[in-house]
Amino acid sequence: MRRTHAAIAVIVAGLSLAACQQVDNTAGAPTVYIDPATSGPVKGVGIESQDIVGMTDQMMRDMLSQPRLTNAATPPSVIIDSEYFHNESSSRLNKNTITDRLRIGLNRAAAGRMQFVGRHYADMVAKERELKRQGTVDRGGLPAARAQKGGDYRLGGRITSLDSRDPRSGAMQRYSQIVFEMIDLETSEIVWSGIYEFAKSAQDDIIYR
Amino acid sequence: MAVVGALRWTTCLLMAALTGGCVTAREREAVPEAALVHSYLSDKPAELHRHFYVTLAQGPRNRTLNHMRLGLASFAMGNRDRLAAELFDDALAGIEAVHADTPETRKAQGLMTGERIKDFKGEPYERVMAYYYRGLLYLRDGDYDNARASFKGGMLQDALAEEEQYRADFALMPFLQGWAAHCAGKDALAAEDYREFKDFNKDAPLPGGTDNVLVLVETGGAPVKVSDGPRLRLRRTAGTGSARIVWNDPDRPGRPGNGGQALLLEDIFHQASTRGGRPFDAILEGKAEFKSTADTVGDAALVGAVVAANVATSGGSPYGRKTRQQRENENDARAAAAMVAGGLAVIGLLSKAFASTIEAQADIRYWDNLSDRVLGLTLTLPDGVKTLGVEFLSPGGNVLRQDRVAIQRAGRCGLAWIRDGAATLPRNPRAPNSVPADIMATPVTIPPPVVLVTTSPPRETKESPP
Repeated sequence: MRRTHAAIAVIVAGLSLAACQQVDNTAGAPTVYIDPATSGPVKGVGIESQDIVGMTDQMMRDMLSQPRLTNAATPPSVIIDSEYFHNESSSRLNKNTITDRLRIGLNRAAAGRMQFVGRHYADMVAKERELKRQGTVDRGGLPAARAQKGGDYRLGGRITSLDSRDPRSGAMQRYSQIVFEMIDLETSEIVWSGIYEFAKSAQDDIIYR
Repeated sequence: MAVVGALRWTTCLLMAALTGGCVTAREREAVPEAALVHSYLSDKPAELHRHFYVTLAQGPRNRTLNHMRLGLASFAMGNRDRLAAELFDDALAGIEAVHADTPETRKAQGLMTGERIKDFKGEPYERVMAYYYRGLLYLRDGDYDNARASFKGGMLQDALAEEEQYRADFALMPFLQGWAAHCAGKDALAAEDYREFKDFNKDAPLPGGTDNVLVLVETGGAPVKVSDGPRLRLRRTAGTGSARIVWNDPDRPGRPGNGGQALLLEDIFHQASTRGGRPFDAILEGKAEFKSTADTVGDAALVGAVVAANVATSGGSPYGRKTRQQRENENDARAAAAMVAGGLAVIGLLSKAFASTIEAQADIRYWDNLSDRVLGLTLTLPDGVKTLGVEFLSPGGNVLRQDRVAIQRAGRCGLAWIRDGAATLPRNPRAPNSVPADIMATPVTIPPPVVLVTTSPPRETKESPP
């Protein structure tokens, strides 16, 4: 009889412990490719890949439809980099992600209607020109240029945001505005402007508020 | 016989109750593979190996907390900025991830699972400080846009205070936003940020237009989280007075510069303690009330069981002879009392066991190598000045300690950051209360590397004929 009770005690204790040991047996997720133009499983209220893809595609189409940029008798030289593209928002991001995609997309689609200047490679070009002129290396196959190419237009822009948070519900909302402008580098005239804007909101679970 | 049976059942249930404290597998440490551990530790500073090992063993539940602690430790080393940036980027990703309806958030609200089961994001003051250090890393790197974005993001985390006057009042953030804008040459933006800073700190002087070095001095130890049941409380550990900044200009030898006393830009403990009640406290209080009720029911049932057991074991009236009928009646009454005692004991113990499994404690994991206060000063210094002298002062103005700090210049501005008080390298590789007490007490031992023994294939030998 005593043995029976001891056995019951052990079983009950064991079951109690077993019930508590909630093993985290969630299956792991294998690596999957996600379309960068769509919203992935991890989301926030900041600028994400689908926003970058969407905004650069839209800006590219808009720029290519501008006769002043794409139908000039002499294709204009354009500088597209992040030097004058400012981030004043509350989203931390590498601005090159935006300007690089824009430049590459435009360069491929423009098919010679615009010429692109790699100003961010100016140091690299200057070093090579110096080596050629010193005679350390030969002159290469292409004819020598008097100087590096100057730009006719350069991209400028600004990322700003407006954030709000409800202290009771913990809901957060962010309106992001990204402005692109093409500036005439002789007159400072703005020859083209584009704007991309979106607002996102999210609410954390009560345990994080 | 019935009494003995009831007592045995009581023993069984008592044992079950004693073993009822729930610790989920998520709260325990895993034992990572040695090869994985050594590959992970290969590019980490040797003095932080045990800490990084713990990060690996504790997994995603404490990942943000461990990355905050190690990010700060790496940042303080001065030559590990890339690692610190990676760690803080990861911690901020954890903070910014929206946990809308995950299995963990649902479990944390359950009766028998504690709040500590959730992935750590930190209280608002901890989240803000993660953005602060990430912003300082951007400043060190001369990336003023992202520095300002970080400080701005930090301010947003401080919007959750219970009382309106304490919402988004982390003055350090708009000050640094303004400084980052000033360094980026955006004066209009800087003026806007400084106006916001002035709303919280009316008397503080603003940086001058030519200032090019920001000195930040941190003092004291991190706010300590304690729990008196469902409510989270914070304690101040230590604070110091202020700091005076001095330097020698190599172009003007013999004329030491005196920047004066650094100003209090932020009292972190004040920020931590004015957050007020959290919405989740109401859920924890509900759990605590349920636990208390179950406990009271258990107590009442056990008292009843004892009374009934007394009746069951009493020998009846000692006076006079009893008839057979009377003896039978007494025996029946004792048997009934024994049944009642047994039943009440079972109910009481089940109720106590149930109460003991209800988890109503607030989560008290915390970032332990934070400081208590941030003092600051901006200066106009020639490029020749590479280091500054810092005199830490007691509240009475006496010099407690002197130290030197290097100015790290990038872009238009330089940053000099120094810490007094609690060590930035956490003494315990495990963050406080990050795992159950029994695991906290065990030493952290990194498994030895796996040595691959390669054996050469046996040489073919020609067997000689016998």
